[in-house]
Amino acid sequence: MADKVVEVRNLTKRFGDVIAVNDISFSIDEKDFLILLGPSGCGKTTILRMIAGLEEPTSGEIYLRGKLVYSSEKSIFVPARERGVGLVFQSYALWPHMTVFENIAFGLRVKHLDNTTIKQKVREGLAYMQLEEMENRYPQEMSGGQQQRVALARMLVSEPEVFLMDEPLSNLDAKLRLEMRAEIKNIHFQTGATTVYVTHDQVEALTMANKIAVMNHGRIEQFDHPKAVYKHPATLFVADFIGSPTINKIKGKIDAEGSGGKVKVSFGNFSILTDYAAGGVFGRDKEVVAAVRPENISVVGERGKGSPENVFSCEVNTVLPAGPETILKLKLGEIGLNLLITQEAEYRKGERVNVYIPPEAVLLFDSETGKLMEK
Amino acid sequence: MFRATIRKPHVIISYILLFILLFIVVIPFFRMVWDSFIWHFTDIRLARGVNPGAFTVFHWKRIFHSKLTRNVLIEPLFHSISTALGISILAMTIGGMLAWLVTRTDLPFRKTIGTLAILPYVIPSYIHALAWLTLFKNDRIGGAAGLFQFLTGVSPPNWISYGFLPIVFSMSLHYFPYTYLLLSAALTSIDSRLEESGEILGARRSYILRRITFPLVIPALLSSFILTFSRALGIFGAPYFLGSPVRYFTLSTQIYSNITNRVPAAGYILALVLIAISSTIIYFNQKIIGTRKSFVTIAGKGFRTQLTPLGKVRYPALVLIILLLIIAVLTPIILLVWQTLTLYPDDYSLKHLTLLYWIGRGGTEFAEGEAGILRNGAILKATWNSIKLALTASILSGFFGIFIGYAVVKGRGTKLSKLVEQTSFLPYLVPGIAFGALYLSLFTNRIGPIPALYGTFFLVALVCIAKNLPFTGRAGITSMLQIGSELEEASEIAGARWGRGFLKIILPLSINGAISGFILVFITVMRELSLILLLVTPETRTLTTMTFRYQEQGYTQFSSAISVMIIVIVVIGELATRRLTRKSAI
Amino acid sequence: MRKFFTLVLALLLLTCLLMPAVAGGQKESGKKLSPETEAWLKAAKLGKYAEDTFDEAALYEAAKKEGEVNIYSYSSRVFKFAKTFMAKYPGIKVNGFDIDSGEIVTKVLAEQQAKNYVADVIFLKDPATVVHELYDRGMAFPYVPPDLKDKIPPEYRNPFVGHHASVDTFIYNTSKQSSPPIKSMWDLTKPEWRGRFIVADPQKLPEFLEVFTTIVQHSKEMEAEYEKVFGEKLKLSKGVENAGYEWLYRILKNDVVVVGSSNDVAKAVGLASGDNPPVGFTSFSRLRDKKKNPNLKFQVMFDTTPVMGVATEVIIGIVNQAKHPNAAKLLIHWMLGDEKGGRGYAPYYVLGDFPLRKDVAPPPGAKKITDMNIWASDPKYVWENGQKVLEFWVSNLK
Repeated sequence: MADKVVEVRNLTKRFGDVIAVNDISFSIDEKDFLILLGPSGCGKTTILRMIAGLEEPTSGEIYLRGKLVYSSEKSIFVPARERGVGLVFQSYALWPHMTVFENIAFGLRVKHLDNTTIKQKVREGLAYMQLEEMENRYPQEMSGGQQQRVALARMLVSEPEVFLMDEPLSNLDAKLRLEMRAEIKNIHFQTGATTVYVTHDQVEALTMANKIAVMNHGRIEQFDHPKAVYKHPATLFVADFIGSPTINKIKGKIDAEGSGGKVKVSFGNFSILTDYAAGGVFGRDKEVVAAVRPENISVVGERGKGSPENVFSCEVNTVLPAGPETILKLKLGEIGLNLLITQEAEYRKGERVNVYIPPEAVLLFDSETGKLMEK
Repeated sequence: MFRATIRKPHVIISYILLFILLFIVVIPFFRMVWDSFIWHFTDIRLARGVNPGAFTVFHWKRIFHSKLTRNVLIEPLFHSISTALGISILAMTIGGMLAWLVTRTDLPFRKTIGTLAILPYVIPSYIHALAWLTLFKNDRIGGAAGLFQFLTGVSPPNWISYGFLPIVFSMSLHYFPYTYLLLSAALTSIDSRLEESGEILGARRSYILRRITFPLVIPALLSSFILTFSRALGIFGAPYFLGSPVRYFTLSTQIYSNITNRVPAAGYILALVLIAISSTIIYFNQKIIGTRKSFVTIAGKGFRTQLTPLGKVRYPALVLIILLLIIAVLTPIILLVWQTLTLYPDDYSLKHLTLLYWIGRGGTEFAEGEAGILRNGAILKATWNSIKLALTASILSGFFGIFIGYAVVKGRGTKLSKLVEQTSFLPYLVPGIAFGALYLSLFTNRIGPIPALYGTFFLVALVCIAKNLPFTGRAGITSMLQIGSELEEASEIAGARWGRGFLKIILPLSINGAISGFILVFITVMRELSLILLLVTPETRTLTTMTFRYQEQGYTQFSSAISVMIIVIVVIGELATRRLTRKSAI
Repeated sequence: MRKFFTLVLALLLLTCLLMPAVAGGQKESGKKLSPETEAWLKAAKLGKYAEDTFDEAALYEAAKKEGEVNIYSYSSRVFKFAKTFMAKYPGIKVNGFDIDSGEIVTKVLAEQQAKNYVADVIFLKDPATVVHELYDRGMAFPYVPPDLKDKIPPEYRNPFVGHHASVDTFIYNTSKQSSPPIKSMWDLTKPEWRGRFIVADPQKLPEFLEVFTTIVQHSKEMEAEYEKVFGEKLKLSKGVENAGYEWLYRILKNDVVVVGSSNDVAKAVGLASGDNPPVGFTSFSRLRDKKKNPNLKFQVMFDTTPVMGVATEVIIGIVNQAKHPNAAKLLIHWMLGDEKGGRGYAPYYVLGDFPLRKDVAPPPGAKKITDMNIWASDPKYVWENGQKVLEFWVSNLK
């Protein structure tokens, strides 16, 4: 079996009394693009910095291509400069007193390459990032996007074994961000470099990664492919964090069995049928959260087709049209429901509409543990 | 854990710094405490049965509970506090108004005024005191009449000539640039959109000033007040010249008397009293505004300042400022230059003007036959010493400051970082004369790895470095805060060792910020007197120690001429750095 | 947290370890000389190894080998006699340094402790301090040129050789007053002299403390003088010990003006512009200032009672471990001049400074010191009581 490119085992980091990273283990393979996703303060950047060697873990182990670079037990700590990783910082960290050329050449000079090689490599890097005319500029004379390219070029020319990126796009405006996203994906495609990428932007994660680790409070809530993370969020937190508009959450209790031996959840005066088989853990009165993605709810006609079950009459609260799609905010009793619809239709505030929630679209989470319940 | 510590360069640097600080700051400080509790050889004059070196509380009792207490401790303490209060309030008022006018209004010639406003600080502080004396001297100390009396025929009352009022007034004129700089920094950092939003809500200018601008600068106001206050507590020259004729003593003049009278323990106890006061105030300042500090908003990008139109008072304000500059800068300098040209001291008549004291060949009956200062070997040597000292001290303490900044900023939040920061600030609180005396008694013997240093140029430089660490350390911290830690991390990622990263990244980036600390130290050391007075030997004497000597012997012309030279050198130094770095000095 | 405390503890420990070592330096006292000092004395032919004859040629030869000599002098006139010395003895460079008396002692103490011996010769006031702080600790030694031994009275080579006496005295302004405005020292305690008596600061200038202490020492005479002036017995104020202290107390209560130097006193009186010029107490030799500045108009009051002033001695010594002992000896010999005053002594052969050599006549226009109505300061008394007088002065300043 080939060695994992990056592997961390039981990694923990404390800052004083705060546990930033709590006993985390994962590994990734060649050409993987792993995104560490989570809200700020969840420990994702800390993990990245520990892999880079900029932060010393409190305990655990880190392997890079099978080589142990950190182990608390064996007292091993390989400093960043010897780990052969590349890192793009959130603020780009370009040295303001050096020209673009010097910024990019720095890592090569450290390796004592001869001047011609350095020149050649830097030029290649500049050309690759379309910065040919810029080599004598200083970073502060460039736009944010250009600075970002310099930072990428600086990483690329040193040909690191692993690319690490710490929210590299968060300082760019929306349009540039889209552009750079494609650019980075393209670099990854061309170089095939194994990449660990940190972001709090779930769209970024879903579009770029082939593996996502969703983090919360120093733990990985789910480590999976982007699709799996979206469709089968392991926890309520993951379900809530991923997807826009956010998933609809309905707090309720398991009610009497519905049709076909499926679980029914009651909330307020309503109840909703699910696709879960009754019995086992689904005891009566168990508190659960029923979650439905906004795009899975549809508006139906006056009576609705098929079973009247799972058809609810709601009041339109807000209409947010956004080009091809429209977000509807509805009120069902005390509960707010978000809908994402693509059909063109006019709705007015206060109007009543019927919506249908397909039972198979309902995900049930255990209220106590927050975990997705098995069907 | 230990290995982990060792690996972090800033921790190693912190320990190295602490080790150095131990010798140049901590040990002198503890030594001061210790020395106040032992009998000294010279104490045989004070009491019977003295065993030099043995423990005693005699000195503490003598200062705090004896017939001396009132005149050595209580009164001077009261005077120190009241003059320091007066100076800080007046200097804050002048400096604050000036800062507001220069940074936030459409005052004409704002830029030029902003530059000129620093000048009073370039003039040694005792010059302001002596200028006051020249102007307002009355019959009390006899001698030639002051210019005021000469012109009006009225002898000013004592309270105008000596004591509290003149000390406060002349020193406020000296210190307002200090408060001006502190406050203008705070004022420029206020995003004027904060004020504009007040205006949009319909508030009037004066209301905005009172309710928005003022509260925003309060933390800066308070801390510059505290800094000025604790500096003013230790001033020596002005109370020495302006206080003594009416027996108006302050703690610092009492420290000086006791140390020159070779009862150092008494001097140290008084110094400890001063230190206790300033550290208490600084402590409370940090307690009170520690949390509020954050809202001096440095808005960063997209922030701008809108100038307040002054309208009708635009030109009257300008005239007032010009007047202020004439009083604070021009008058003392003119008097000073004039004094160098008088044939007989205090004889200002035009027919007796001469260049003798500048370029005289010597051998005349004037000035014991000494040659004019531009031909005088001893003075030229002292000039060289002064420049050498100021350069050495400012460069070394500048670098020291960068390292302090690095250790403190990298270790932010750790006890170690705090310890480094606070230890390096300690010399700010110790009065110069006491600090000098401590170095004299401490470094005349071998201590730890340091050989006896007395008589060496290095010792004089060392005391200047140590005393100025609070300034360069501060400058180092500020400039280091502006360097994101990722800049250094990026170099580590690129494969550079710590040393290379520090040399290629941190040092070049911080040096520009450290320059302001550097030139401030240069100026301070050029004018330094009380700190090095006891430490210089004939071989290492500086311009300031020469002027002090000449002043005491009554060669006003020589002492004034040397003061003029000091000012010229300082101004050249300031202009040179400004040209080199486009940075202002102080 | 623990690390921090360990650190503080370590700091404290280190400090404590260093303190006694440092403080120990101050303990050395007593007359017992160290072997190094003994060896140096022997080589330098000083102390008990002193020669009986003065062989100028031999001394010059030895001094030429040393090449230079460093002298710390309380007076700037050092440069004048240095110049004449160098002309007379080519090959020996004199490095004269002009430093206050008190500072000379501080510096020599520091040099001795640091074993960084710069000064060879010290030339200064305040013999009491020099004897107790330097001589008694083996840090400075007297040198009396053998050929001059008989020409200097024994009280002026006890142990250091006296160079000249300087007298501190009362002066008045001659442009406004034709004759001395006071007759007795006690006159200064009268209301009309309130705020009109100017003295130099004894807290700063040891020679004036010496003077005040000498006045206290002569409290009997002061008491008698009071009765003579006021015609009644002196009633001492509360807590005041004797008539000497009482005089100090009363001039303080009479708002005496304290200025920074003897020169300031001369200027204050000599340049006074008001109709009621003050009188001052300053160094007699300030009279020579009048030559530098013709605007100065003051004169010494010779007839003040009980005395016109107090004489203090200026002494010369050689510093322990001095590197140029022979040049030092030669220089001292030069400074003491000859029977006509001499070129070496010339800078001090002026009005106000009094030669101590029996064979030298006072300078033209001056009296012999023995003919003047003065008190001479007594180093032993000054040493023992000086600080007490100073404390009294300070505690009654306000």
